[in-house]
Amino acid sequence: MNELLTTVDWSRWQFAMTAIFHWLFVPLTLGLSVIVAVMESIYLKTGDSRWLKTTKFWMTLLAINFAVGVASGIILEFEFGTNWSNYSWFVGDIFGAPLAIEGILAFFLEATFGAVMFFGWGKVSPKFHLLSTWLTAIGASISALWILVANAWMQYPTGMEFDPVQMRNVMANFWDLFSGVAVNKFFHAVFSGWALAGVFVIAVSAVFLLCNSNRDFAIRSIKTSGWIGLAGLLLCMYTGDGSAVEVTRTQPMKLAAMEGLYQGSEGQSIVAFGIINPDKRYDNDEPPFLFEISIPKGLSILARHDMDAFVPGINDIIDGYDMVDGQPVNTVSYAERIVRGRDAQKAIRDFGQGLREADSVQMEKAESVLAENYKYFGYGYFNSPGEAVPPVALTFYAFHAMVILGSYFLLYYIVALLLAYRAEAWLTHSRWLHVVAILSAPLMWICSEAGWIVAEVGRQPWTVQDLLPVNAAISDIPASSVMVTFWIFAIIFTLLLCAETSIMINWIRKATHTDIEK
Amino acid sequence: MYRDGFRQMTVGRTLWALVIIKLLILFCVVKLFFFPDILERDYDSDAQRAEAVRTHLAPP
Repeated sequence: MNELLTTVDWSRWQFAMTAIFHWLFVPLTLGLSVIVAVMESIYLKTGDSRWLKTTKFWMTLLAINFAVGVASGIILEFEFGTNWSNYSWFVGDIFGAPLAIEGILAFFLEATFGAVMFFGWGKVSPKFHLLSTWLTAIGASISALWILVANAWMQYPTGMEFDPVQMRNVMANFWDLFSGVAVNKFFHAVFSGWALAGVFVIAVSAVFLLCNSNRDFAIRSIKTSGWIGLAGLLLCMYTGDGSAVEVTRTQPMKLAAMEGLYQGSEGQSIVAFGIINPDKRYDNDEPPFLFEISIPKGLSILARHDMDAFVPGINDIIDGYDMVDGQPVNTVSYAERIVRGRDAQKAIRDFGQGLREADSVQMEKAESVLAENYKYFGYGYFNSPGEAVPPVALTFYAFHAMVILGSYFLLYYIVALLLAYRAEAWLTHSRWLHVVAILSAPLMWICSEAGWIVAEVGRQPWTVQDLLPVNAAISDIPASSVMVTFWIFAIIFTLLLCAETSIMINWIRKATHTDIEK
Repeated sequence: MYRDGFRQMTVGRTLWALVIIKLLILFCVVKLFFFPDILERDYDSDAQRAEAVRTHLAPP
């Protein structure tokens, strides 16, 4: 058992590290490709060659990011087959289809039109080049769509039926994969990429201003990326609101963890800032916070768009208590879910025995019990309801870091745009502003990664919500082999990150010594 | 276009070298030696794989 737990831990760390590394590149590609496409559109419309030079500069940085980041997501698929083989088999059809589509679309769109975008200057007509740039940007977002649809299915499994013969979920309705969870997740992630890329462009432009180099180019870049980034951030906030409503509906435990909420109420306040009490557990009477500043009724508004709505806490959810419009919902307690999960597991065993002995009566009976209890299948692995509670502190702090940094960047964009349009001279010469703009860039990545930590840590212990906890999803492999590959990846990722940073810095440094617009 | 594009690359040469080395390490070393598909490797048919997963997910 200890060996198994260690394998789970190493596999989790490995997956988390790989996903976090992959997400360093993806949002920048998503956002910067749009910024570059807008810049090239302006060039084509105005015919002003300075826009062409500006486009080409940012396109080179996009190429560097793309080259280093490409295929880093493939590693996650390696891990599925080796570390998470039970999971891979269990979800096969549902998860495989979007990933296969993603692979095909990513390959054809990005390889074909990306090549025209990077290599096609002067070789194809300007209009076709622009079309290729837009198709590369759109292709990157479409790729993200399929990954996010697959991820959303794990958070809210729908559109499938469980086949006890194959021991896997099979797709019943492809279009059910595009649930509200998936749609919000997709737009939230894509627009967060716009917001991140906008901050990146402003930070690099600030380097030019700090070096008294290419002033017009820098101001032009700040204006363009400022608008795109601001639009991205506002849309990100809007879709984040949609996500909060979906999480309340589909993963109330995650919402409770995001807020460190143990006992819910009507007109529930939201914690704007708080320090979690590390001794608090669902089954003791410790206060949940050592310190907190709350906004009255805030969580009810966020979660259910109704200032008087009831929002359940961790203990309410465990007890099977939630109310929507005065009606009880989610009334099955976790204790009962554990019992029904075990019934489902027994039904699978009985079905397997019937299958081996060709006993169709036993199979039919088992299938009926399974259908009745499959919804709670995953709870059968737990010994107590507490095992179904995610790490509250990490989820809470990640959520609040994301919100606080997101608010900071709203201010950041407003100030950057105001200065770029109204106080250009001040923006050009205030060195402290340049330093703030540059130092803020890593915070944007922290904000973006924090969003994923909320999404993925907040849904623990599940790989597939309510159906498959991580302990069951894991392969029966030695922890030492996962540990070895963990360190191999840690070294590869560190080297790649150093390579990207150094190539980018060299390219930018070289550009500060030249006139980009010539 | 591709040929000319490759010839005229500046920073691109470094990037291509990086991409090729990375893909070689990932597919020819990491995937080949460290990341077998466990169920594909250990079982011959889908029926056996399903039975293995059944045993794991609903142990006696």
